[in-house]
Amino acid sequence: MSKLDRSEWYDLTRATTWSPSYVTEEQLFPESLSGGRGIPLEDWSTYDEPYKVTYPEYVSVQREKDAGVYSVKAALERDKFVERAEPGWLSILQAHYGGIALGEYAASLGEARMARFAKAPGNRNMATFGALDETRHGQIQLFFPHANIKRSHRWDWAQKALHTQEWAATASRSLFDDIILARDAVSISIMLTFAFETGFTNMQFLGLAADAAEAGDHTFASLISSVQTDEARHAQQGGPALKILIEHGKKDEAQRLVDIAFWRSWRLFSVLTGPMMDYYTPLADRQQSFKEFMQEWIVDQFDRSIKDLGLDSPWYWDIFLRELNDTHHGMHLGVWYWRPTVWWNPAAGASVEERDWLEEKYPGWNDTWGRCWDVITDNALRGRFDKTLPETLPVVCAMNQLPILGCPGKSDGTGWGLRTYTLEYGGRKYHFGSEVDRWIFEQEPHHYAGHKTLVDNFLEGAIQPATLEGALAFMGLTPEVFGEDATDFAWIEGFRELRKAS
Amino acid sequence: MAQIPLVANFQGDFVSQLVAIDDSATMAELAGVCASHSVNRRVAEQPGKTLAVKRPDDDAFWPASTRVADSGLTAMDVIEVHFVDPD
Repeated sequence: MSKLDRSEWYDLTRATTWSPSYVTEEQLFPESLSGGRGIPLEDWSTYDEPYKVTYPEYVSVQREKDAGVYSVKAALERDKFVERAEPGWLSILQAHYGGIALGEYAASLGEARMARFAKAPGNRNMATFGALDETRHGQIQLFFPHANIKRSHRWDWAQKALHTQEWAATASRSLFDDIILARDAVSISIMLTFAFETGFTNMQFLGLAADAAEAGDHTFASLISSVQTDEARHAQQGGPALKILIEHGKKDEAQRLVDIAFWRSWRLFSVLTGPMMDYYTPLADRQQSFKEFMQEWIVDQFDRSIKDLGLDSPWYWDIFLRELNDTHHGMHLGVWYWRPTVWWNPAAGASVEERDWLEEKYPGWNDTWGRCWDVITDNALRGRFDKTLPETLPVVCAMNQLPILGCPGKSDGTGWGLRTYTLEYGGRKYHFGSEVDRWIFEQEPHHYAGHKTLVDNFLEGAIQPATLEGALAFMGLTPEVFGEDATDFAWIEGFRELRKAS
Repeated sequence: MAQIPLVANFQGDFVSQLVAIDDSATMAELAGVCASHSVNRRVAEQPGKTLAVKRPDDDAFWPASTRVADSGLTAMDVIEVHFVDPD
């Protein structure tokens, strides 16, 4: 018996659905998990995902992808790239795997929630493949770093990070808990697949792949560009859901979900991708600056896709555009200065040549951020490395869990951008790193109010002893993974030479 | 005497920091504690200047001799520390 052509059966199978008769619609699709928002089932059935695939096609294509990526890894293992890579590049890998691998697993749970609870059958179908994708992503981004555990425990943080109270891991978990695990199926399609995946993951997985190929890390380049081909498919689930919400008069709700998820994603990328692109990637291998990547992938492409769907740019777009000049520089300085509190070795990225590059890409960098690095450099040249390490905690944002920061200002005294945004709620003071983070809290305060930041835990005595050592232990960090300067301050030598010459 | 935690934003620095201070301390002493976490770490000294403390939205600084206990500051309030010309 010959098989039917795909076109003869695909539309029947992609939208498998039925009208419940033994249970109510609400019992089958509880609102808190499904998020149908009162839109009739038959209207959800008009959901039309742009990317369509059958299970046999999926298996065949994915098998080829994995064969490709795993064979590159196997072939290059003998090359031992990891043993000769620049320290800053290793830091990118260690930070990436730790911050992301278990986030992929969380995404598989989000896909599974859509696969069961989305009222749109096309969404349920695509999410089944999405759950398989994210399982692949979690597994592959655990398997690849696992080969390096024999070299350093920092690679073990691929698995460990999101199980700890380490602050950057907490920021990652806070984002993924909010846009995935704590949301209904429709919200997940919008917040995870549309805002986070189509918006930002292209930056980390394609922009960084370009840098990886340039740096000679073909294993990582092949891995993350392969991961992103899956993303290109399952990230398209949000668009059709947005369309249905807008058609049913729920544009404001749709806009709010996008606005929340976009900002929260931005802040995580400012601490992970920003430093990776502008400070850790070896200078010769930097394809573009972080701001240039953001301009291309986010400001141009994503903003266009928002408008194509009938939404507006987020209300804070001007704030976001201004932040492109500063936030990630501050996140980098914060991570580097508080480096014992991360599981990778931050590269300072502030050598003479690197500062010239930063000035070129961010005019005025030397007269602002550079002035902080001047003091750090002077201390290092004098052998006062103790002054390059902290003796207190930064205050972190009650929303994004990251240090509250701003531009340090110029030598003429203008341009100081450090501001703390405060809110009193339920008898408690909350501090935020931006008015947008505060606005997000105010949308659903019950969602966030019970959370305790690292600083809250410290003040309540949960960190014992109440010292840096106690904080490091609380965060699950062990001495062999405390972050150190990636090049052991080799970057200061250029300044020493300049001073001798002058 | 009680210790209170404050959120300190030091002029010329980039990050909010946690500072704990006895409420019997003066504003001058509070400014000194804040400076220890910023000056000569990420902020250059400014010889000839002194330090003064205020709330972010206020124009006026507290007098250097004002005690924290008399300032109205409570736990996790935000303060700014600035370099100013001596009186």
